[in-house]
Amino acid sequence: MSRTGSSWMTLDNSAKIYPAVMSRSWAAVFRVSVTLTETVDPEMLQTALEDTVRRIPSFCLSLHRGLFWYYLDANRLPPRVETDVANPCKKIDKRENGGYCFRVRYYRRRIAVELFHSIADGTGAMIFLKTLAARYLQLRGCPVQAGEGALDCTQEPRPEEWEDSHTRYARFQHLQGRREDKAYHPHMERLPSPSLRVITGILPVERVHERAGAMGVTVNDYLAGVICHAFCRLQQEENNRRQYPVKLSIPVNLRSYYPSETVRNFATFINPGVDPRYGTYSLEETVQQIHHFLRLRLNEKYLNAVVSANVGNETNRAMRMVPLVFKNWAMAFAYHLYGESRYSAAFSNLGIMRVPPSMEPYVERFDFVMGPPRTNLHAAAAVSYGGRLMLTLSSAARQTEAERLIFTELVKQGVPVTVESNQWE
Amino acid sequence: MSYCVNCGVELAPAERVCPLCGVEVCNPRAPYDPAAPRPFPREVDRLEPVAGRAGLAPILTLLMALPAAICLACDLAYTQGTGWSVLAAGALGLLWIVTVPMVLLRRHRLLTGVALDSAGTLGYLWLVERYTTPGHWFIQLAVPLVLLLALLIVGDILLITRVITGRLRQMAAAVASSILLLVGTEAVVDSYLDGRVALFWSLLVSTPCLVLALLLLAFDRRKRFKEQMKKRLHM
Repeated sequence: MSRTGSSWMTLDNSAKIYPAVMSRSWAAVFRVSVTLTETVDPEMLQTALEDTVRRIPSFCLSLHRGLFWYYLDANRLPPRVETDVANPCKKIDKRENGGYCFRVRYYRRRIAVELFHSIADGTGAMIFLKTLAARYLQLRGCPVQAGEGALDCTQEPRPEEWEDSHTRYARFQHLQGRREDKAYHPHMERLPSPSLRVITGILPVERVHERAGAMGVTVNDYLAGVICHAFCRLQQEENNRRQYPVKLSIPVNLRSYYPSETVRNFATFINPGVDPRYGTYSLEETVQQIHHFLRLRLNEKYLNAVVSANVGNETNRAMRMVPLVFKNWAMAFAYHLYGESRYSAAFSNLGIMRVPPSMEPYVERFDFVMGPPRTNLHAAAAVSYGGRLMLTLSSAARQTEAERLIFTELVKQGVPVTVESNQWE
Repeated sequence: MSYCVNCGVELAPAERVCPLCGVEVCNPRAPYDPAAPRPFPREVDRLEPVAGRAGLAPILTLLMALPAAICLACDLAYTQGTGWSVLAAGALGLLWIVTVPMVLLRRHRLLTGVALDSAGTLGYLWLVERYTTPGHWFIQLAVPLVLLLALLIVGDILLITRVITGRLRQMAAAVASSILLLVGTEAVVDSYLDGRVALFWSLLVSTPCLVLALLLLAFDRRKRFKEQMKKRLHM
């Protein structure tokens, strides 16, 4: 499956950090799900899953330690579907599901795919989910065609689908000096691992678009601004002696800039935000700050320089010769210094989800849940489908103040919000 | 449909209380329906128990037992066991006592550790006396010094973690216990060397320690002084 056609693969450039920073109870896991119009049949879903992993073989791998790098090796066992649980995005344990780095879960009319970030990014996961859902519907006898990201399971996989696009497109013109200030982190009590609070706000896309348009920004900028503003207010309420910048970590899908067809990771991150040390920002000012920051950074030249810096570290000859155990220490230390400490929360927006027209009558909604980062407590994820925007806030904090501030701000802005959660009591 | 009176958000039919603020749904026209389909099932996915550090214990035991056995075997084979191998094996045994219980114990690691380390140290010192310089130093010198040190460490830990609160008072207690250690050490050494106790050097060192402990206690009672120090030394 690698360049030489063998059954193993190296981790792509973005994926290398995740095994190094995972702990006994935490790993970078996220989840995408689709809700159909009929109850899911587990046996048929199992067959659909087996067909899907044959079509997307980069998912049919398990993670192993080499002497110098982690690698992904072929997994002979078939993956099994599982029933859903109340706390999604728990660390995927190798012993639990035959060594796979993903799991497929079902609950009523919903099919969910949870996966370790080393396998794919949000876009790759959505391709897998759409292919799985399309195959499932085909097996149910629905006349569903492939397209719009749903791959045809009768076709053979193509090498472009499992390439490491970072290495392919990097021009090796590095960025120098990307130092950033430490960001604000809310002081909240952590829920015992692996608990996760998931609160989804269902918003009408039209209304969000209208509010964003009134501010002259995109929906993504607007939502990022609302979240950022909520964290600014949280910091104000804490009334700490020292104020920190409030920043969000936003992944950028590099497929928008390059003609990549990879189903693996192909994204980079940028951290827009505001610095309350300069004064109190209103919501409009926060949204504008984020909008201009993103417009300045979101161009092919800058993004390529960011990717090239990361690829440069990976391809450095001295770095390659260092044994994995020392690389892990170095990467975990770097992640501690320059990773999560530099942003207050993560926010990922997959945008408007499209499915083949023949599949539309069978699909009710899509959801996207990010597991919270390792030390930070909050993550937000958004996806739009069928005129509804699902804004899911996942948190490992006992308090719900951040979620309340975000959704009440949207209500104040005239955006109606319907909330649902994974709480039972 | 119900709205949270506090947050203004609409609540999904399955929500009994607002997930954002905890306010209960109170809508006579659309009361909470427990049978409404929930977005997530009730079952919670738990973490698989991990082996933990206990798996290290057999590896450490093997790593220490192997060289100890080799030393004893070589000594027996070539010098008919003159004792050096016993000392080497004893040192490895002491290392085992210091490391392995720390890996195995889950609770009371510090207190049990001090007790085991003291017993191990005494055992090793007894071996040294037995195989190198026969005399009475083990009973008269080593046992009281090791026991004194162990008692003071245990006492300090208990006092500082369970009885005394406040950083300045804890520091004063630690300084006071160091006075006891100094005086006790000189008393034991004197009685071993001369058969009588005549304190001298320990008192010289203890006096500034006592002054420091009293100063710390005095500072602790002066709120204004503490504020002034905070103001001038804040970082």
